[in-house]
Amino acid sequence: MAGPGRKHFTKEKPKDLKKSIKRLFGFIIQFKSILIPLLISVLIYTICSLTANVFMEKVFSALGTYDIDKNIWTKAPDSKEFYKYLFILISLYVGYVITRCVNDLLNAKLSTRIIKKFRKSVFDKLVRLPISYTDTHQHGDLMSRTVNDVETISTAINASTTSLIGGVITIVGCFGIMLYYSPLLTLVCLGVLIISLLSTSSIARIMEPLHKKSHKILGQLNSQTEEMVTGSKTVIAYNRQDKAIEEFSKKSDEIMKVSTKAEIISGSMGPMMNFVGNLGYFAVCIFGAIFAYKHTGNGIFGKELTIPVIITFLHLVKQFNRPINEVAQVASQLVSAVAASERVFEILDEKEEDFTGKAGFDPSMIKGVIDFNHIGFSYVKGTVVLNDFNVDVWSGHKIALVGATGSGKTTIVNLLLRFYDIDTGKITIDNIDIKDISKKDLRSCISIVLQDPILFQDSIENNIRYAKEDATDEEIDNALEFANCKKFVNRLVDGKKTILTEGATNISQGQRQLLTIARAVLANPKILILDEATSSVDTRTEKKIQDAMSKLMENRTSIIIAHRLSTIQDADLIVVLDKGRVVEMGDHKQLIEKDGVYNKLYQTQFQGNEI
Amino acid sequence: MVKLIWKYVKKYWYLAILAPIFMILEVYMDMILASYMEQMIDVGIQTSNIDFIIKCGVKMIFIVLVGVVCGIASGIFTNLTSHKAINDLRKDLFSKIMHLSYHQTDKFQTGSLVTRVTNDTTSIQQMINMSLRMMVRQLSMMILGTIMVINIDKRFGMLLLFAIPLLLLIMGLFAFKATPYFSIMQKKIDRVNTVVHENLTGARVVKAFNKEDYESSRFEKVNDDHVKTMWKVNVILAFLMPLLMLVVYGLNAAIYSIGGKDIINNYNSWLMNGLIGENALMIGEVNQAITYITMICFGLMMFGMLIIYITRSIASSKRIIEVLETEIEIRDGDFDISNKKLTGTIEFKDVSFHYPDDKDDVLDKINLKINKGETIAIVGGTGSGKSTLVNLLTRFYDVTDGELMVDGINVKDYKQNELRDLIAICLQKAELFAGTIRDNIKWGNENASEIEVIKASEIAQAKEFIDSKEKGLDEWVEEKGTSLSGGQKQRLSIARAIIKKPEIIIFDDSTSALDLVTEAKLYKAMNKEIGHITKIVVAQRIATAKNADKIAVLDQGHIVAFDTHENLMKSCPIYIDIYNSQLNKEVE
Repeated sequence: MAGPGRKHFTKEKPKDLKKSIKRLFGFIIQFKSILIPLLISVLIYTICSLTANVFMEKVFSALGTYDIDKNIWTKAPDSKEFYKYLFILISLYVGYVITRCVNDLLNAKLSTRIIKKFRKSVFDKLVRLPISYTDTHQHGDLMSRTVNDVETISTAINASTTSLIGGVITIVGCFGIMLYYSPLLTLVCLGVLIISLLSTSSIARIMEPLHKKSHKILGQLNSQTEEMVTGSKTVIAYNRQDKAIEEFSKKSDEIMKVSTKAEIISGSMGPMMNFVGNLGYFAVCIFGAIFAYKHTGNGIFGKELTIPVIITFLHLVKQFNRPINEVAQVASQLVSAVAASERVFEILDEKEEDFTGKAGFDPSMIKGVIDFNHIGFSYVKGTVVLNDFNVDVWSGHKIALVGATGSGKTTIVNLLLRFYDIDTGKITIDNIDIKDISKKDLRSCISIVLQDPILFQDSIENNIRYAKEDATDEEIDNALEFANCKKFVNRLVDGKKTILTEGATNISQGQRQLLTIARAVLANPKILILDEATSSVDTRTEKKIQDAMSKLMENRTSIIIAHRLSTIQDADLIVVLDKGRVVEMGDHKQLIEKDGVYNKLYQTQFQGNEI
Repeated sequence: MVKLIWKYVKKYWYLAILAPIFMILEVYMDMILASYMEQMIDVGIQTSNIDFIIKCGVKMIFIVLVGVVCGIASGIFTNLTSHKAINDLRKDLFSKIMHLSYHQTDKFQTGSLVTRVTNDTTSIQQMINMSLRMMVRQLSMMILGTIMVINIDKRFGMLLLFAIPLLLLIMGLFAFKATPYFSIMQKKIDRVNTVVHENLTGARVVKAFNKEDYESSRFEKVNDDHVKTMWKVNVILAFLMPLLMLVVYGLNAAIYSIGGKDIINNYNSWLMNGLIGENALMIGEVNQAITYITMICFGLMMFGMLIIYITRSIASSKRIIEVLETEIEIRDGDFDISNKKLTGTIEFKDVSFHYPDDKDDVLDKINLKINKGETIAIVGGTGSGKSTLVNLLTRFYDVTDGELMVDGINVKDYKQNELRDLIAICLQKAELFAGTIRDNIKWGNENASEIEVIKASEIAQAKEFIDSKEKGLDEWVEEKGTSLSGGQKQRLSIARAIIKKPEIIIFDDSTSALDLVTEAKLYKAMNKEIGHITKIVVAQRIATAKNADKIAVLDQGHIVAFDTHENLMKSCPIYIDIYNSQLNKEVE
C-alpha cells in the first residue's frame, strides 16, 4: 500500500529472462501437489464469477421490459424463470466464496512451503561456502538474498497464480461473453481499453524519472543522516550541529519538491482512470442505445441487443478493467521475482567447500608439529601476499608473528585452517599435508581467537559452550576463570546467563576478546592461534592470561600474532614479517642482539616517545 | 499521534481543508453520474431516445470532467499539505537529534534514529495523504451512497444498515485476531536475519569450530518458526475476503429478490389495472442500487484496510514523538565569554560521575589541576574511567557531582559552542565524513587557509600519505572514511583538531593505530609547533605517556597517583605493574 508507482524504482531486469524463468519454474514444479489444486480452484472461482455475470443478465431478462412513457410491458416478466436464475446466481456466488477460500488457503500453504524450503537450501549453501566467498561478497546483499529475495519470489508466485491466471481467464472470458452478446459493442469496449492503457503508461512514463530522482535523493538524505548521527560526537565537538542541520534542510527541501511532484502525478492516476472508466461506461450506453435503436450489433448467435445485454456490458466493462491493471502489475512483479531468483540461484550454484580427506589423521592424537614449506600465496592474482614463507614450528612451542599491517600475518592463519588454499608450497601437520586432511579433522585440532571477536546473540554460557556442546558447567566456569572473565561476568546482573546483544554491544571490546579466549580454551585444542586476541585488553590483564596460557599450552603448539611486542616477548620463536617475506627469525634475545628490524621496533616501544 | 500531526499540519490548514473538499466533490460527481446513468438506461436506452442520450451524455461528460479536475486538485492539495508538513517535521526531528547528548544518541541507537528521520516520517506522510484523500473518499462515498440507496428504496437502506455493521464486525474480528501476529512475525524475521548475519560475519568461527551442521539446524529452527507464524496469519486472512464477499453477495442476492419480486408485482398490478405502483422499482433502479451497494461495501473494506495501515503508522509517530519529547540533557550556561581571559587551565574539583542508567560511579571524587601549556597523560586499565574523564571536559556528559572548571569557570556556565571552541578532542574511533581530505581537515576550521591545512597535516604526520594519494588533498574520502586505513583516519582527525587552534587539545587514545615511530614524530612536531597548548593524552601504551609533564594513573574511578614518570616508577605500584606488563625488565 505504498502508494501507486512506488514499485517503479525497484524494477530490475533479469539478465537471462528465458533461462531463469525455466529454472524458477523447475523449482516451483516440485510443489505440484499444492500447485495443481491451486490452479483448479483459481479456474473454478474465476468461472463462477464470470458466469455470474451471464446469469445476472438472465435474471434481469426474466424481469421483462417496461416502457415507462407508453406504460406498456414490451416483454412480460417470468417469475418462474426469475427465481430459477436467481437461484443459479446465488449458488454461483456461494461456489465463488468457497473456492476462493480454498484458494487462499492453498496459496498460504504454497508460499510458506516455498519460503521454508528455498530459504533453508540457500542458508545451507551459505554456511558451506568457502570463506573466500563471504569475504568477497557484501553481507547485506547476501542477507537480503536469503531473506528478502526468497520472499519476493514467493509473493510473486502467489500473486501470479491468483491475479495473473485468474486475470487472464477473466479478460478472455469477459471478451468471450461480450463477443457472444455483441461483437460491435465489444469493439467499442476495446477502444476504451486501449485509451485506458495508453493513458496509464504515459503517466507511468512521466512518473518514472521523478520517482528515480526522489529515490536517489532519499538515499542521499539517508546516508547524510546516518553519517551525522553516527559521527554525532565529532559533530558536537566541532560545533557543527547548525551546519549539519542547514545541509539536512537543503536536502529535505529538495526531496519535498521532487516527491510532491511525483506523488501529485501518481495521485492523478486514480481520477484519470476513473475518467477513462466512466468514458467506457458512457460509450457503452450511447453506442448500446444507438445499436439497439438501429437493431444492429446483435450477438454472434443472433441474440438481440436488449437492455439487459447493455447492463451486462456495463458490468463486464468494469470487470475486465481491474484484471488488466492487475495483470500489468503482476507482470512487473514477476519480472523482479525472476531477477530475485537469479540472485538466489547464483548462490545455490556456488561450489561448496570440499570436506573430504584421506583417512589416517586423528585430531586428538597429533603432536602439533607444523611445517610451513616455501609458501606462496596471493588473494588477487598479481599481488603477492606471502612469498616463500618457510617456518618450522615444533610441538609445544609458542611462535609469534610480528610485522606491520598488511605484512601477511593473518593470511597464515587463513592458510593453516584452509580458509584459503595455498598457491605454492606445502603446509604439514605432523608431516601430513593439510590438503590430505579433511577440513573437519583439521579444524577440530586447531582453535583460533580472532582480533574481531565474534559472539552470538545468546547467553554468555552458550557462547562459551559453542566450542564444546557437551561441556559441563564446571568446564565452562574454568574456561571463564582462565580467561579472566569471571570478574566482569559476575558483575553482570544475570551472570553467565546474560544474553549478549547483537555485536555484543552490552560488553566492552576487551571483554568480548576475553570471552572468545575462554571459548577457544574450552575447545581444548592441540594448536591454538591468537590473532591480535588481546589488542583491546589492558596489559595487566593480558599478562595474567599469558601466565595461565603458558601452563595450559605445555605440550601444545600456539601461534600468536600481536601488535604489542610485550605480548610476545617470551615466545620460543619470533618471526618478523615484512611485505609477505620473513625478514628475521629467532627468540627475543637473539633478535635484540641482531639489532635489526625487531630491535628497532622494540626500542621505540621501550624508550617511549617524546611528548 | 493526532496532536503531533495537527501541530505540523496546522500551518498549512488552508491546503489541508481544500484537499477533502475537492475529494468530496469528486465523489459527489461520481454519485450524480450514477444517477444519470440510471436515467440513461431507464429513459434513454429503453426508449432508444438518441436525443435524450446525447443530451444526457453531454451532461455526463461535463460531470466527469469536473470530477477529474476535483480529483486531481484534491491530490495536489493533499500532497502539498503532507509533504510540506512532513518536511517541517523531518527538519525539526533532525535538529533535535543534533542537539541530543552523546549518551542520548547512544541510547536511541544510530540505526534507529536514522530510520526515524527517514522511514517513520515517510510513513506518517503517507498516513496524512491517506486520511486526507482515501479516508475522505471512502467515507463520503459510503455516506452519499447510503443516502442514494435510501432514496431508491428504503428497504435497501435497511439492508445496508444491517450489512455495514456486519462487515465492520468481521473486519474488526479479523484485525483483532491477526494484528498481534504481525509484530510477532516481525520479531521472528528479525531472528532469521540475525542468524544469517551472524553466520556471515562469523563464518570463520563457524568453520573453525566445525559448526556448519549445528548452524544449519539453528537456522532451520528460526526459519520454521517464522514460517509457522506466517502460516497462521495467512490462514486467518484466507477466510477474511471470502467472508466479506459472502456478505456483499448476500446483499446483492437480497436486492435482486426484493427488486425482482417488486417488478413482478408491478407487472401483476399492471395486468390488473393497467397501472404500476407510484414508487415502483425499475430495472435501472435495481441495477443502480447494486452499483451503489457494491461501491459502499468495497469502500468499507478499503476503509478497514486503511485503518489497519494507519494503526501501523501510529508506531512510527510514537517513535518520532519519543525523540521530539526527549529533554535536552545538556544546557547552555549564560557566561559571557568576551570578558574572560583565556588561560587554558583545567581543574577537577571533587568530580564524580556515573552514567545515567548506572548506579555505580565511574569516576569518584577526582581532583586534578592542569596548568596552561602542560602535557598530561592519563593511564589506567580498561574501564578505569579514562575516556569518561576527558568526555566531561567537552560536556559530552555532565558531572554528577563536584565542579569542573576551565579557566576558572565552571564548564556548565559556558555556552556549549563557546566551550567546545576552546577544546579540540580527537576520539579513539576517528570519525571522518564524505568529502575530500581537505574538507575533512577544514572541518576543524572552515576559514583555514591552504597553508594552514598543509601545516596541520604536516604536524599530524599525514602529509606523507596525503601526498601519496593520486589527488592529494582533493582525494575523496568515502562515508565514515572507509577508504582510509585506521592510522590514516586517526592522523586526519588529529590534523582536524590542530587546525582548530584550540586552547586545549585532547587525545582520547587517538594514536592507537599509529606505529610507534610515527607516533614519536607526531609528538615531536606538536611540541615544536603547538607547545603552548594544554594537552591531555589518554593512552594505553606507557611509551606514549612516559614523557608527559605529569601522568595521572586511574584505577577504578580513582586517581591513585599524579606525578612524573620517574616518580611514579618509584612510588606507584599500579604504574610499575602496567609498565612491566608492557616493557621487558631484562633490557632495562
